[in-house]
Amino acid sequence: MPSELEKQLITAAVDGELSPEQGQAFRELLARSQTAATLYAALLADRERLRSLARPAAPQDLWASIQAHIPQAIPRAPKPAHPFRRALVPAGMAASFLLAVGAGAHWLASSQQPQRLAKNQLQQLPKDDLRLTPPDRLTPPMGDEQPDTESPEATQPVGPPMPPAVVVTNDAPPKTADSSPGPKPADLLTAPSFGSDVKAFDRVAVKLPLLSPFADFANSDSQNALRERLGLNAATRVDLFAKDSARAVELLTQAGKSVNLNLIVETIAGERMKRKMPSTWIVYTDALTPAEITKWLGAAAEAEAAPSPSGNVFGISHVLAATAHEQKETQQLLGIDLGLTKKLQDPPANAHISSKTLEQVTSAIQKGDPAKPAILLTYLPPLVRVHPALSKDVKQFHELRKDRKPGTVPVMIVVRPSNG
Amino acid sequence: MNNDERLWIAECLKGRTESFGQLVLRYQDRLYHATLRIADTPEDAYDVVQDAFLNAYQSLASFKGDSEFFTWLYRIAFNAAISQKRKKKATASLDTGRNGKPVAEPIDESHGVRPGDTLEQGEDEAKLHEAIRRLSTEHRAVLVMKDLDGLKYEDIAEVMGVPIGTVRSRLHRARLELRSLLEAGAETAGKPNQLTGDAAGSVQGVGTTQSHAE
Repeated sequence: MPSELEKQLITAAVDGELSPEQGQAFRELLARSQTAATLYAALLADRERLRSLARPAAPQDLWASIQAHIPQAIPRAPKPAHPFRRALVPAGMAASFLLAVGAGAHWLASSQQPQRLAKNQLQQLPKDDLRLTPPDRLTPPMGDEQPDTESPEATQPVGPPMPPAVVVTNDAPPKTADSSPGPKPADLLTAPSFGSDVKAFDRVAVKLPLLSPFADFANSDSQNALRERLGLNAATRVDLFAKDSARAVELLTQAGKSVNLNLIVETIAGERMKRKMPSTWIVYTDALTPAEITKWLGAAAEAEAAPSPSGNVFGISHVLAATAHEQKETQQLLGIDLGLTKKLQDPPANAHISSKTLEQVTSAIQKGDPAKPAILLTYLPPLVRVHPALSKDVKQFHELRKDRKPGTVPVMIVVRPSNG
Repeated sequence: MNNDERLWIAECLKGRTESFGQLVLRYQDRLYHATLRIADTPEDAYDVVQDAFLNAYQSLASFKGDSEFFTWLYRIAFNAAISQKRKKKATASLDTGRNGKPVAEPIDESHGVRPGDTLEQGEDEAKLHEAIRRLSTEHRAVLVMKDLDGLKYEDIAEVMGVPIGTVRSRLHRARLELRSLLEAGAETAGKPNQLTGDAAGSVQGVGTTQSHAE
């Protein structure tokens, strides 16, 4: 009876994928074992039977059916279509916001100018002969204020702000310009839009990505900015553009030792790294604090700065808050809901410390800093991704990954090949 | 990838859908034939191939040309076949009562009733097809890719998204299982197989159990 190893040799021979050394061993096996020779012959016969199976053509209507469905199948744009596309969206929002603020400031300044002019005119008129109607009675109501339907002035159409109106009468008590209510203090952020009754918004929050050459992470200023940014976000995505993405991943892997990172390299990703295949990679961990992530990337930046014949590996880096898109991506890649949009709650300050906690702390001190799990994958398009349940590396990552510790933040580092 | 394919893909990306029709025409027979052996029925194979082509069309912009177009297409089809099987399995489990007995009408699996039987020309081929059908999906797929399509370990690894070593070991086990199944069909049930060393009885569950640890 052939051993398991001998059987493997036999099936590899049937596959036609023996190395020269294996070929030699296989010939020797056949020469000394009749059973092995019989099994080989039987497996070869099975292979030939498989090969000789009828090859039915595709049904005649298949082509037509596919063609009929093509108009409904909308082509999907590759994600991301452009490496800077993600960065342009928030930048565009910020530009729009600044434009709105500038226009608002201009409007405010120009609307106050006629009021000043009117005040000057008022001071030149005889005070006994006039009554000043407050401007807020004549100008249309703004914001949440309800129009005064009893006032004839309130029926005026909503339009651009009017200068204070002056009505000259003889029977009314005199009023000075100084007694009139001034314009409502306008907040640039909460001011309503021009001449509309749209409700004022309370706050605008625009999160801009942190754009920085990766090499700058070796400097303390950039490190501080990075640490601060990582601390602000519930979860962070870091896009790193690299001339040689395989080398970039190697640098990140090596730098991971500085924070005791246990980086599990998914098998396909490992093979691609070995072959130096240009790929997009993704590293995920939620076991590091912002300070540790900063230290890790800083170490990679320092390693990159070392003189090398190939020059700089990394280019620009984008640090941005993870969104529902990243949540979905990590779910697809790793197979679980990582709760990226939920910030980890710190334990209550008055929580009791149990004896078990004390034991855990003592044990941790004795054992030293435990390795922090992270995983490296090839970032493939959704259609060709391996289901996470089929990956033993992902399983291993889940086994090592325990509940997140307070202070840690999930980070998704995407290393992309770039041309320059 | 040859120049024709490059041209068709480029034209298709410019919006000329008839160019995609050329790609379908070139690969539909090969893909259908392979899928027919992985899926359970010709109808399933038809759906899988159609979905695979439509998915490929939708994602054509993300095809970088790092691999052969057919390998890429094959991978999409393989994933589609796996997810179709999962869906069917989930549906089947919903149709099963608490006591494990099917609440729906049982399927008649006897020869000549299944739609796929019309494809089988001879008794020998029918036995072989039946044995393949009883293999696990992964083993079935790896055998089809190697023996029917003549793909290399490397290409199979690319299609299945597994390392080459896994392909080798899956093929090894798939061949031995197929041998056992064919022998079990030919020999008396319960008699140990002479060549593989497996008991025929142990083969009965092959079609329902997943592969062992890689």
